Amino acid sequence: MTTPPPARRPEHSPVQLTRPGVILCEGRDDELFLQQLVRRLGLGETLQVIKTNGKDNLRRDLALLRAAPQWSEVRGLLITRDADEDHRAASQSLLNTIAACGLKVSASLHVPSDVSSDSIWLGTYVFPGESRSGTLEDLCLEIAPNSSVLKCADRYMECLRSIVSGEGRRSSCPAQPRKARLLAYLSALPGVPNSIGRAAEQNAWDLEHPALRELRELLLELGSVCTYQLGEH
Amino acid sequence: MFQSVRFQHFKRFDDLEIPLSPITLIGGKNNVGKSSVLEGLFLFADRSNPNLFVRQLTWRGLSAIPLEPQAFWGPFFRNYQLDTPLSIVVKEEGIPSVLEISYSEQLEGTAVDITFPSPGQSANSPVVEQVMFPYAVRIQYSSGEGLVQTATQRFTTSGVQHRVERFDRPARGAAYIGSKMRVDAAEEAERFGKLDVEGRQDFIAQGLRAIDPRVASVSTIVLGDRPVLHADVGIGRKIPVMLLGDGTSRLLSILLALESTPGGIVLVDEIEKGFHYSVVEEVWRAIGAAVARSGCQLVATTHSIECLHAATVALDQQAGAPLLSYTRLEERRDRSLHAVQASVESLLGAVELNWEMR
Repeated sequence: MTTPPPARRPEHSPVQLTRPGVILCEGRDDELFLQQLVRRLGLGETLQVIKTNGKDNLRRDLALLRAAPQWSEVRGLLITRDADEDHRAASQSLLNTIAACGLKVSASLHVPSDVSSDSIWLGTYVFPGESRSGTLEDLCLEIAPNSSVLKCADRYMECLRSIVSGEGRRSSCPAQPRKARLLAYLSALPGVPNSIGRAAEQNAWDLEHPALRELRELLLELGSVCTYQLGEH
Repeated sequence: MFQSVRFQHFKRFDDLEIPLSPITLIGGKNNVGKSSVLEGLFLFADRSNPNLFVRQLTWRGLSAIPLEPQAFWGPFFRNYQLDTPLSIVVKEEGIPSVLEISYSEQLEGTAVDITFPSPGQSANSPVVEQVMFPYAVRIQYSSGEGLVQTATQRFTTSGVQHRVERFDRPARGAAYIGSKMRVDAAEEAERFGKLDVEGRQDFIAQGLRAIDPRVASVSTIVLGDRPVLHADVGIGRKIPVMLLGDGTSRLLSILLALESTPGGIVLVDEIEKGFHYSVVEEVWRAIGAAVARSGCQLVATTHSIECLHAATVALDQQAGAPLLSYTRLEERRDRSLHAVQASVESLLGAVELNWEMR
């Protein structure tokens, strides 16, 4: 006889679809950052940010989303991810995953996707935006409002690199230079947590910055599509 | 195995098809028709039983049923509209089998016993007026080979007459376990006896250990004139299983139904009832093992996310083809009903991300 192992039990209330517009993102930082931006744009009642298990699980998570209760009420979907080292490859990978799910990105948000049976508008956004390679961290460093602290963080990174180079080590140091630069910046700000998402909650980013124009416009367009659809019911 | 079931004009459903797996969990909000799915499947399997309508009404708690068409047959037809036939179509290996039930009002086929004055009575005694009811339903079952069963039910002065015109015993057995009802102790003892004869009785004790690891064995003991299943839990005497607790009793009912209905179908309403969350995964492992062993399908409803998560995790770890699928019945804004299916892969994602799927 064996004692049954303890069952897994959800610790928090399950995530539910509650808004006509959904933004799927890659992780907790992206979720909190986008939530803050959505709120700033006055779209908190229209758009909902939901994190997935990352780009490698996007196909499964899209299928899950489409099987979720209230999916039939969703009118707009924006899927985001990082470009990482290659913006074109990341964008194509995202489009391939979407196509594999039987969906198609709308040419414009005002054109319904014509492949899927779901009558939704579907868009994508690849960080840091404007067809550049990089990540959300890069975008945040662009919109970091305290330029003198950022310069100081850059000098710290330069110092690190020179030390590593002087020691003749071939490996890069730090291993994640983007993240290290960002954390160095955040660590200098009093009362601001060391994460993009938590920092967003503390208004540590300049959400009016021109580098966010493309993303802001996309969210506003998605919001208007979803608001319009809501009014139709 | 039943691959799918399609309901047309049945209860809540206008036209709804639901895919079926070895284990199918049905979810959805109140009054979307979850229990009706189970009842429809049972009606299909129970089609040759004269009590096919009455027993389902009593399961729902109706203790008195007026002998009039709307009350007696109406609940099975969409919106009580008797003028459109209802059908239940089950696909098995791609071949559809159809149970169609249609209502009519005609006197053809009715029979009335006329009472003459009995000997000794005056010929002038008043003649008792005989009433002829025109109300009838026709129950027809056809499979790929054509019509295989027909029967007619009609009202008479003494009740309901069930006349079989063509008979074919259903190949697959079925058992129904409601959310409120407790399975009759004698029926359970009979099921257990069947397993005992075949030397498969140990599977029951093995399954019950998912809840109570003390259960060493189960056996039938006659109390008064009734057989009652008892468990040996190592306390020096055997005790009735029902005294061990509701969860154990319910798991016993489910396992007995599965093990004693090989190749059939077992329908359980609100399967999570009675189980503490900490044992639900083990309960599902026991149920999964019983389904795999007996080849019996299980279709169950649930409101519980813990139950859904536990089933997903427990059954994913069992070898072979996926045992589990989940279908949620969903009513849209236009009041239309839809069956939304989630794959095991999606369900695992839902467990990881803690997304709502009910």
